[in-house]
Amino acid sequence: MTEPIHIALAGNPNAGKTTLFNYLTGARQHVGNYPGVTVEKKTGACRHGDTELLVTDLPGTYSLTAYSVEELVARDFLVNEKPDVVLNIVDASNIERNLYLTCQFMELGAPVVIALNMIDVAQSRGMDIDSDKLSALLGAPVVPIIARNGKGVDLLLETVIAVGRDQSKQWQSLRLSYGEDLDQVLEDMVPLVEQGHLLTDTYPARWTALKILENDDQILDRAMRADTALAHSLVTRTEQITRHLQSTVEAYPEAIIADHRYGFIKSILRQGVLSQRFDADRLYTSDRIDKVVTHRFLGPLIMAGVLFGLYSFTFNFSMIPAGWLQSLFGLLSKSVDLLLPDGPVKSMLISGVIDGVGGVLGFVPIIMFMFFGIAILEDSGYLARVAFMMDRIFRMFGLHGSSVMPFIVSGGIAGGCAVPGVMATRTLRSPKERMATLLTVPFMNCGAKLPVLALLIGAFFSAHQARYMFLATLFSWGVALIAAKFLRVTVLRGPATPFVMELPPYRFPTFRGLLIHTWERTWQYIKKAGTVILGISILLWAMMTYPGLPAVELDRFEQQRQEVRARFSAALNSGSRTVEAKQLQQMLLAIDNDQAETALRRSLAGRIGLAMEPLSRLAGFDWRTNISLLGGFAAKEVIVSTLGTAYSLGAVDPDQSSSLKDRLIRDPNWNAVVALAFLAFIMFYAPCLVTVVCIAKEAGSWKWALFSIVFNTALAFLMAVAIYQGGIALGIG
Amino acid sequence: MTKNPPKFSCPFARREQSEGEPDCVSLPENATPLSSACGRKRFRVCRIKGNRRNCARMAQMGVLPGSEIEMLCPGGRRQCMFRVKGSTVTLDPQCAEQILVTPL
Repeated sequence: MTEPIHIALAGNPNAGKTTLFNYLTGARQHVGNYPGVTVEKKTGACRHGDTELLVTDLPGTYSLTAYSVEELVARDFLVNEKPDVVLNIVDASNIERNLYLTCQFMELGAPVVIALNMIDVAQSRGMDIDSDKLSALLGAPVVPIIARNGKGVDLLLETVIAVGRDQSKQWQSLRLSYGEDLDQVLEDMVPLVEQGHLLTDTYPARWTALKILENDDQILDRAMRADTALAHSLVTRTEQITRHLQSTVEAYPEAIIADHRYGFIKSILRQGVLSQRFDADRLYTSDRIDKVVTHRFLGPLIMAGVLFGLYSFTFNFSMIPAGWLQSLFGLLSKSVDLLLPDGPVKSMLISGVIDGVGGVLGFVPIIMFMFFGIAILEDSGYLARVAFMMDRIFRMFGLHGSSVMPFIVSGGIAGGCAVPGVMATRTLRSPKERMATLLTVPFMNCGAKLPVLALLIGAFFSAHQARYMFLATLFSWGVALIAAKFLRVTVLRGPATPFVMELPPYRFPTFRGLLIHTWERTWQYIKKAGTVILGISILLWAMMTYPGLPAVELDRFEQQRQEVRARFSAALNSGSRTVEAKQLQQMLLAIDNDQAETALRRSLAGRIGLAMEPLSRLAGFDWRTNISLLGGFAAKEVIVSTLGTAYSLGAVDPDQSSSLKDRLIRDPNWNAVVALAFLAFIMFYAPCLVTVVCIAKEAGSWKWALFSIVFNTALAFLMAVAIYQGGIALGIG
Repeated sequence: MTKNPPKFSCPFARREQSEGEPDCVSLPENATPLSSACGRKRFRVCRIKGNRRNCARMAQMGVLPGSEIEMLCPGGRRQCMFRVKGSTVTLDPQCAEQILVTPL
């Protein structure tokens, strides 16, 4: 059996790396049409003929200089892992910019195979690319492909295998000229690097010298640690040439190096590689759309319309399947009630498992439709435009334009997750802007909060569900931005950093891609409901059931029942059967409810809920609501399931059983004002446990994780109290 | 293997300029910050000011002295959007202020 070939997929953001990775490995990696989808490297395997290929999908980068986390991840992988082949995905429709990175792979000496992706898009733009000539001029194989449908991929893999199996190949650096001044400095520096063995075990000597000239932080740091004296002398030489270039051409060495790389690329393209059938200066469809979609006045209106349309689409189309699921779980509950004898097992199955997990799974259709809508926005490239338009607003609140993506990922359009959102803050360079983003992304309406929002909006504001959902989203953004501003003028004071972003072109999403994205996210939600949520639901059921009532109390309730039955028996004997039977049933039900409520009050969770009630009453929350909020600290999905369990424990008669929504509407402790206060609290109180751990990890300190719990809960409570007390004062509620 | 850059691409000193191309080393009189450039016009980058990291970032994106850019959404006090080397790039007003351009 032959050795597997290690391939690194590398290229610019939006060049199609993840699409090709998914095509090759059959993986279901998330693909988005905006920069920064792949922040960390991902690995997979595939087989072509008898050769096994181990594929690593690297983050999209524009260069190999340490300006961002993505660039560091990609570069470190290449130099440390030394893959057999670097499969450089080049967007053929944007070839000049994409070859800039190719140039740097070749300067590093990596064995490159170029996949000229989206060749169809390039042709539709009137661009004819002679891949053979490009290959001859660059000295690397070039294969035109269309990663979306796999066209050309077989030939690409054959080329990759041929290069990977070529025993004679070595990592050989491309030597570009960067102009007289810099070439001379490199001539001086390279022998010093070689003689001093400065980082030569990892990087080629000329490349190290070049990175020192480019003022690369990571290389400078490593060089200083490896040989301080030598590194100092190289930095001194760099400073001399920098001063010289500043005084003569007012430019830094890295700008001149970049210019020469672009010059090299242009010289290649102009040697018959690229010919333009149409006017090269014409505006592409993408640009024409942008002129309208990102227009100063029209843009925000369109954005608001699109988001509102997303909610209307979600709620209008998901209600029918959601109703089916609700009926299914109702039927399941009744079946278990009929089949099993009374006891803890039946109680756990109905109140813990079916009401708990069923309450969460009942929202799968809403989640699915929401994710489908978001996938359309993302894959079409519109989300990147949202980031562009939101940047200006973000700046006013002390955040960076790059903060937009973590906010959207966390649920900025409802339905995301704060955990990847917190991790996505890595793309921010300023530590203070990053921290402010990190602490405020949990305010977004993640997929776990969505069921709570849908439940309460459906129960108390059912006439305008889409409108209230839209308002809830706007509210979450508003509070997050104000909180960010507060943090940036108090504990996280500091200057703003510049915003530079490349916008991907608009693309028609593929139906397969949309289904994959929708299913991926929905499956994650279902999986969580079947594992974590199931576990927490059973735990909370146990907390709400035990220690149970003492024997004396049980005897008291049983005695009450016997007394009622005795009266019933006397009444039946006297002949008034129907009226008396109804009265008896009501009295027995009242005793059952009284017993269930007393048991819940005396349970562990009930005692905690009751202890919190004097404070929570200020916001209108009773002790049963407090139990669900406690569960929400573990995972926000649990709020609905715990409410379901807490409110089902009091309704033991199957004939009286109804959905949680109906129970809340009928409950005297609930009304529109309490629902609003509860919504506000849910949206902004402490992040779930996993997010808190993630914040601690990303912030590098538990101090900030603790801060997020205390700050968010205090803020949420103050808002809930203000809403409830305001509502009461106005006589609403 | 050493490849030499072509003469036409480098806008910096000690290179041969194309006929009619403005001299970007000495700043032309009509040079304005990109943030003040109005209308959907084409411009040539003359100079990039600001800190070193910012200049490097711009260079990497292809925004270099001598580069031609086409304005898609003029900036002013808000973000501007332009095409450079086949890509659509957006900048905040502070960044756009650091890029000096002349109309083409």
